[in-house]
Amino acid sequence: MKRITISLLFLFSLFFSVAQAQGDDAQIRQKIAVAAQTMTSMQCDFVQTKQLKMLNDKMVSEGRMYYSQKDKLRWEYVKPYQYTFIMNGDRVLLKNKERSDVIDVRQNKIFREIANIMLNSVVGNCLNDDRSFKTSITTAGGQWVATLLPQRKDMKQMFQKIILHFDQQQATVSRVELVEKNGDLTTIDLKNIRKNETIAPRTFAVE
Amino acid sequence: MPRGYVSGMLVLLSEEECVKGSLFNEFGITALDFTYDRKKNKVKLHSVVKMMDRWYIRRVLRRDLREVLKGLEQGDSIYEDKRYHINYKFTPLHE
Repeated sequence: MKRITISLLFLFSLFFSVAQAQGDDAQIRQKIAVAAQTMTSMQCDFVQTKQLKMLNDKMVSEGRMYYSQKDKLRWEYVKPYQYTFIMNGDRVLLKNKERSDVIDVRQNKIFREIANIMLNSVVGNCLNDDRSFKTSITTAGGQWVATLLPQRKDMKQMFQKIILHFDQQQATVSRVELVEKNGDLTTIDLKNIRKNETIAPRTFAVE
Repeated sequence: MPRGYVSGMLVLLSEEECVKGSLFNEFGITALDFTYDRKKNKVKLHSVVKMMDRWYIRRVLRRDLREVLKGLEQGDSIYEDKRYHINYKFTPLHE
């Protein structure tokens, strides 16, 4: 009888902790969703570190990012190369030292995927995209860590998983980790984040 | 934009008998990993992004990379595949 009671208690506590975790998970998602909705703009510096598994080496690049609700993104690398990616609705401008190209993301599947990942990761919208990702959230070191497993075929071909780190105070993304199929890892750290400040429309001009 | 235009980073690691390389776009997404065996004058592709992973693309890549790497070792940063009209241009990164 004692054994049955202990087992029942164990099962009850297990059920309770699972239910509690699900409750926490929903609460975190809700906080992030509210923060994303109320964020009209965001700008920050970033450091991108690409770990090359094959070469056992890494490459670090730096730049600046601007976001304006709900589909404007400027991703600008300044070091060690100059490269600018501006997304404004369905149009994307790619600009390097030698040329600039405008493409329509509706007609380019790969760019559509990359543009959506960059945009939705930075804002945190990926968490609510159940069709594209299976998501789990944990709390570690004062951060919420969301692990996103791609569900769609085209995404699975590129990434094993995407990990988003959220600052608990601001409920905004502070780090994005992209784990590729070949094991390479790209980490993007967002720094000096400023929210809801006016950004000149020219910043997102695609022309 | 011309059909098939690609830009990104090529990182090479030169060892005694071979050159290891990785090609990825500006966002860090890898297009291909390869090694070039200097003695055998052969390129082996270790991973190729799914959209480019076709036997006929692999064949062209292997041949072009071999010529590109031979050229780069001699300081030649431009290579043209005249058969398929593919132009490769490399600019050194200064970190």
